[in-house]
Parts: sequence; C-alpha cells; structure tokens
Amino acid sequence: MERVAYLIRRTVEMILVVLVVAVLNFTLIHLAPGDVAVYMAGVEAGPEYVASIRHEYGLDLSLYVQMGRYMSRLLHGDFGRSFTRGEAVVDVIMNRMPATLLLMGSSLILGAVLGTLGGALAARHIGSKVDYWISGLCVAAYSTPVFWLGLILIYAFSVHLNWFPSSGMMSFLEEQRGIADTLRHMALPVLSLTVYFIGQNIKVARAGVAEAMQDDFITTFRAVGFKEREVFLKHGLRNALLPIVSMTGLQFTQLTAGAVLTETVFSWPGMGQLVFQAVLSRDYPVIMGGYVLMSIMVVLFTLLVDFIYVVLDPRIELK
Amino acid sequence: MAKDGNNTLLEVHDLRMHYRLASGAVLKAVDGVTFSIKRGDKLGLIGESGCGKTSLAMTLMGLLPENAFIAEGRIFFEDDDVLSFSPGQWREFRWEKVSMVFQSAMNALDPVYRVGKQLTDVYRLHRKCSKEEAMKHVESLFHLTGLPVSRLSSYPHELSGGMKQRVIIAMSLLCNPSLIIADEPTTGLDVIIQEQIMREIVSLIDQLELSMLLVSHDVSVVTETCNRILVMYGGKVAESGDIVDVFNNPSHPYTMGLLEAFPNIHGPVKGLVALPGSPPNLALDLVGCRFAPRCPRKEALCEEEDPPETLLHGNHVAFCHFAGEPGMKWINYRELNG
Amino acid sequence: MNLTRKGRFIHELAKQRMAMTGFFVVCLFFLIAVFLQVLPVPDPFALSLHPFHLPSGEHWMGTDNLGRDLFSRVLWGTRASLLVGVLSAGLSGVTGIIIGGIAGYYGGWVDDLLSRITDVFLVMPIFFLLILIVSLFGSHIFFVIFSIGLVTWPRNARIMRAQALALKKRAYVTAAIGSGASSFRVLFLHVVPNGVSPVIAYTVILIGQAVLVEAGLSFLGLGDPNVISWGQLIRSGQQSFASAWWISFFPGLMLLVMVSAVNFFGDGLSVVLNPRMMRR
Repeated sequence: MERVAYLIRRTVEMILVVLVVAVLNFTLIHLAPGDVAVYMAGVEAGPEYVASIRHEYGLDLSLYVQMGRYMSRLLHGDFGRSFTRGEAVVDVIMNRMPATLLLMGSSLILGAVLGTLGGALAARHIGSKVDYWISGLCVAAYSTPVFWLGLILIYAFSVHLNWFPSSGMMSFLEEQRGIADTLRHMALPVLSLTVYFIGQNIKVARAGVAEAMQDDFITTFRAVGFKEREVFLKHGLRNALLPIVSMTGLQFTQLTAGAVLTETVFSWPGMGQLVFQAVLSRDYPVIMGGYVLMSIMVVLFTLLVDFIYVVLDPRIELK
Repeated sequence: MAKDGNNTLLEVHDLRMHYRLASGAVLKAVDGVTFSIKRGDKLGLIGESGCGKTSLAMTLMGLLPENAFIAEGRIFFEDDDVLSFSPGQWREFRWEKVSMVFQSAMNALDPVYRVGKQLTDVYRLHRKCSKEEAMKHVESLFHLTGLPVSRLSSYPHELSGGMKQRVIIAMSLLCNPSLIIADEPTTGLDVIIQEQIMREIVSLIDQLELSMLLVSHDVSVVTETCNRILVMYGGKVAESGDIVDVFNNPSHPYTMGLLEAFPNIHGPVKGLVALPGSPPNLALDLVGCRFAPRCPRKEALCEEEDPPETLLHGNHVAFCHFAGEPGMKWINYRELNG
Repeated sequence: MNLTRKGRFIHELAKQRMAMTGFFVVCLFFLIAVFLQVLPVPDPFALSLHPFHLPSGEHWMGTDNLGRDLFSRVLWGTRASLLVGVLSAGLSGVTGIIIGGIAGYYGGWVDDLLSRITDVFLVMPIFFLLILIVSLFGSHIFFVIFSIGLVTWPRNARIMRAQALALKKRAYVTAAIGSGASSFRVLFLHVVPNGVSPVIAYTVILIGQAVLVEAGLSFLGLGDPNVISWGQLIRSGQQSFASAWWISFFPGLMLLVMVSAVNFFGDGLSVVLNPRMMRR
C-alpha cells in the first residue's frame, strides 16, 4: 500500500501546484498594462459607464480582495462569466473540451502506439541502412512546425485530392454528421499533430528496446528455451515500456502547444482556439478558466502516467 | 559414440567454434577441444578470460550469436547428435537435459517480474501443468536451495546477491536436467558467501546425482569441488585429467603457472606469481603451441609444431612437447620472475 | 596520439556525420544572418508590380502578396530565428546552471524551492503561458527571447542539480574544499565545469525548440511585427495557400531545415558527451 500513499501525496502536491498556477495566472493578468474596464466598456464609452462596469465586475477592489474572491469561487467550481459571451465560463469551456480531448487524445495514443512499433522495428534492424534513414526521418519529424505541416496537408489532401475536409469538426448539414464524418474531419489535424510525436517516440522506443535486448536476462530466457519472439515481447519490449511511458508523460504539455496551433489552422472547435481568442479579446475569466482547467488536465494526465510507471517498474523508490 | 553403455553423458570431439569478425577475420575461440563427461562427474573447465571456456559453454547450450559458427567437430549428449538439432529439438534439449547457472554478477533475472512468476513461467514452458502445480514445484526447489518461500513474491532487486544466486540455482534445477553448466557462479559475490554458495551447489549436485561442468578462472574453487579438470589455453586444451593427478603432477607449463598463482590459505605463504605476457590473439593464424610465447621452457620446436597429446597416467593427458620429461617436474616461476 | 581531453572530444564529435552536417548547415545560416546586408539579394521590403509570382529566374522563391521578393525575405527571417533560438536557449541554460548548481550543491531550502518551482513549470502549458505573456505585455523580440528563457530554465536547472548532487561527492571537490576554497569557488570552478555537459546537450536541443516556439507565436500573430520572421511569413501566406503555395511553403521548409540541423548536431553532441548512451 506504499504505492497508494505515494499517489495520494502526489495528488495533494499537484492540487497545490494547480492553485499556484491559478494565482500566478491571476497576478500576471492583472499586472498587464491596460485597463480591463475600459477595454470591456468599449472605446467610445463615457467615464461613468466605465466606472459602472468596473464596479459591476469588482474591478475597483484591491488586487488581494479580487484574488481572494476569485480563488474562493474557484474552489467552489465557479469560474465566473465570460466577458464577451456572458455565459458561465465553465459551460463555455466544457463545450469545447471534448473536441480538444478528441484531438489530443488521438494524437497521443497514435503517437505512442505507432512510435513504439516503429521503434521496435528499428531496434530489430539496428545499425542497418533502414535504421539510419528511419532515425533521420524521425529527427525531421520533430523538427517540423506543426502549423506548416497542417497547411501542406490541407493543400495536398483537401484542396487537391479532396479526400478530406479542410476545416471544422463536422459537416454543416446535419444529415451528414456522424462518426465517419467526424473521423474524416479528424484525419488531417490528427495527422499533423501526430507526426511530431511519432518522431520522438520512435527514437525513445528504439533506444529503449535496443538497450533492453542487450540486458543479461535476455540471455537467461533464451537459454531457458523461450522462442525469440516471446523473449522479445515479454522481456525486451516490456522493459522498454518504461522509458516510453516516461517520454509520453512529458509530451502532454507539448501537445497543448500543438493543439492551439492545429486548432487554429484547421478551425477545429477546441479549447485551444477558444483560449487563444479569449487572449486576443482580453476575456479574462475565460483565459483564467481555460488555463486552470488545462492545468488540471495536465495534472490528471501526469498523475495517470506516474501511476502507470509505478505499476510497470517495481524498482521505483517511492520517496 | 558411447561405448560404455549409459555411463557417458556428454562427448565432445574435436570441437572447433569460430567467430566471423566484422573485419573479415575469423576468431578461433574453440580450436579442437575433445573431452567427455560421465554421469556423476564434476568437471572443472579452467583458463584465463579469452581462452574459450565461456564460448565452449555457450556452444553446449546452443546460445551462439549470429556471427559464430561450428567449423568442425561433434557433440553427443546421451547418443544424440547435438549439433544437428533443429530449433525445436534445441528447445527441448535446453533446460531439460542441460541447464545453466549464470554468473552472479549478471542480471540474470528480469527486474519487472516477481521471482516466483519467472520460475513458474519457465517450468510451464516445459511441462503442461497448472499455475498451482508449477508453484508447488518451485516451492519445493526453494526449500531445496534454502530460500524462504515468502521470497517467491519478491522482485529481483529486493534480494541479496546470495539469494539471487540461489534463485538462479533453483531455476537451473526446474526440469531435472542431467548436466548443470555453472559459469563462474560465484564471481561477484563477496568472499564468504562465495564459499557457501559453492558448497551448496556441490551438495545439490551430489544429492540429486547430477553432473556438473564448472567454468571458472579460479583454480582453488575447481580443486575443492571437482573430480576432474580441463585446462584451456588459447582455444585449445592444455591439460586434462582427474584432479588429483593434475594437481600433484602438473605437466603443462601453463597449469604449473596457474597452480602457483592462486594463494593457498592453508599452506606456507608464497608470493603470488603472475604469468608474464598476455593471451594470444585468436583471430590470427597461429602455428605451434599457443602457450609458447609465454613459456619459460619453450624451444624452436614449440613454435613450429602443435604439441601432441601425451598420455601420462590413467585419464591424465597434457599437450606439450616435453610433457612428462624429468626436467619438467615443476617449473619454478618464482625463480624465473626473480 | 596524445590528445588532450578537448582534442579527443572534437575528434569524437567529428566522427558523427549527421551531427557535423547539422553543424555546417547551422554555420551557413549563421553566416547568412551576419552578412545579410552585403549579400546580393533584393530588398525584402521593396514592393513590385508582380505580386503572387511563381518562383522564377528573377525571383527564386517567387513573390508575396505585395510583390516582395520571397527569397530575400526568407533569408532575412534567418536572423530572427537564430537570434531567438540562440539567445533564449543561452539565457535558459545559464540561469539553469546557476540555480540548478546552487540547488544541487547547497541543498536545503534552495533545493526544495527549486523542486516546487520546477514542478509548477512542468505542469503549466508553457506555450499558453507565452501566448499570455506576449499578448499582454508586448511582443518585442527581446521580450519574446526573455520570456522563452524565463519559461524553460527549470528543466535545465533540474539537469544541473542532478549533476551537482552527484559531483559534490567527488574527490577533487573534497580536495578543493580541504584546501580552503570558498564553496562558491568550488561550485563554479569545479562542480559546474565538470557537470555541465548534459546541460549543454539539452540547451542545444532547446535552441531548436525555441525557434519552433517563436515561429508558432509569430504564426498566431503574436510575434514582433517589426521583424521579418518565418512564422510571420507563413502566416501571411496562409489565406492564399491554395493559389500561391510558395509564400508559406519556403519559410516553413527553412524552419524544418534549420531545426533539423540543430537537432542533428545536438544529438551528436549528446552521444559524445554521454558515452553511456546508445551509439549509432
């Protein structure tokens, strides 16, 4: 039950981290130049209107009081209301969250699975010309700007070949919607995002598998009479999973960056695009809310990866 | 082929196992080795690193890398022609007839699985049985090797060096093999445990009436545990025979050097003798006695002709042009080194 | 051959073909950036009467929506990328070395604080933070450099900390302390120079990442509008991609080439600096 204690401790740590993130975010926004109330009221608004806006949104209170109010509301799950839309921030964001999760989740899983397979393949033929070229391609893959790749994919597969739609998550006409339709819309954005991660994962998997296959216990299990395939899967690949899982855990934050860019290029209706637009329109509640929720997502994911790692590697010292 | 009925377990005839190197050269790791092991024998295979003893052990288990090949020779195990085995026959042979106890310095166990599971998996690979039956069998082996049954659920990193080695020993006994190849089973353990483990291995071998091939570079271990010895040098046999004969009457200069090099705790304190020079490069085409460059008694003949097999007494043979001659009684390396 | 440690290092590095290719490509970019003004390329700001012109003999990469020569604009973009990449990575590296070294060597509350900070930064979506900072506080290129450096130093610090922890037990450290050197001297004259290799390797890779980050920010419109950068160029060609693909294509290609080159070099560096890593 050491592991349970470890996880509980990590969860508490992470909650604190999210709170720190929220505070930091709040401070950052309110340190920015420019008066929120003026921005909201509009350029032509008279001073009284601006003052009334300021009062209505509690912007005339001291920073500490504002932060206090915000944090206490936050802990109750109240993220406030969007300045530009009037709706509750939580609703606005949750509306968009599934789209982003779909995009990010697919890319992460595809990247991990294909990367592992590719890496295992490269490790089998290590040192060969094939391996050399694969490694080179991988570096190119994670050196490619994801938004540029997206544009090229749209041009090639959407505009020219018309195989896939170029934007959005679903078709305009309701009759056309459905799983197949969404998959068609997902194809290109997921592809652009995944390329980067396949590149990284192949590299890590290749190194991991190659190293694992050189371990002494591989000789043991060959000596004992297991078939090569079984030795590879049960012992080589299994041990290589550890660095792969580690790497996947680190990729989530990179994913969020990629998500914003991909959602913008493909007009994918996700959180990334939402928060970006909120930043442009200074819709602070949405920015804060989006940020905190994204941090929570990252935290949950990190905890999940931590847990998986602890299950996979019994040698971990749970400090 | 075995002529004395069921008594001979393993016969190796003129085995030559070579490695094809990336440079195109051929490294003759095992270059014409002949010996046999009878039931109940404990044969100590001794030599420096690079002399071919580990390569020989690996050949017997069929665990050779891709660039290794058998140039010549035959291996017979209980009348089966081992070198002509198909992969399927090898898988039946390994661990059932012959098994290995690996070096304690090796990470012979997979760190991510529990020890009990690793052993039951191996057992169930060879015998169709349920998990419970397999576990019972593994438990009995734990008893035999002096391991607490609670340790079945431990991971390898939770065990001490000595315990890990006992697990490896238990693993080697899973399918009741006839021959155990022990490859430096105590190197890397601390000295006190070394002796303990070695004694336990020997007692198990005797108790279960098995045969053992002990590969080691440590003469003292071999002389204490084995009844026969095979000294290898440069991929070839230098001397072999019953331990008593070889110990009392070493007839190859290399053997003499080996016997003097190991400190004897019980006898008078002698200075450690180091054999000058280094082992030959087996990738080159060598002529004559492999030991000649380092031998204090070498003569022109030694560098031109391979030494013949000289029969000394009973099983005792040596491969030296001057074996058995009066002037070769014992080379005093100490005097030579000054 | 009696090579000094440095000589041996350079020799090993030179054997890595891809890494050296990467290095030379980066040098090439560097030379372009430095000597740009004396190179015989058209004025990147000059409008012409041939907008959306296909790549041709006169305009090697075609022209953009205002008829400006794309080739020279792309070359000018080299400056922004190199500047941001190298400076922000450098800033990140130096800060990381100092703070990580102190944390690892002295331990105590500095170390705890560093761990907390690192945890926070590892969890925060960094790109978003940058979007926030840049759009709120301004997009001047030096500010962008500073922000990227500010946001990425924790990981460097962690690497340095691990090194410092391991190295402070070494013999030469004890010897230095014993001979009366102040701990400050010991840290910066002994521990840091010996432990800095993995930080250097990571920092080189960080250069590539910083370039991509800056490109992303510029693409979103948040970059410095006064500086020609590749991300900005890609953005300008976005709308007309279907008809004038070259406007967005070539800057992106340059990004790919430069970042790949940096990464190949960084990989080669890693292999040489850390001999226990997988060779090949």
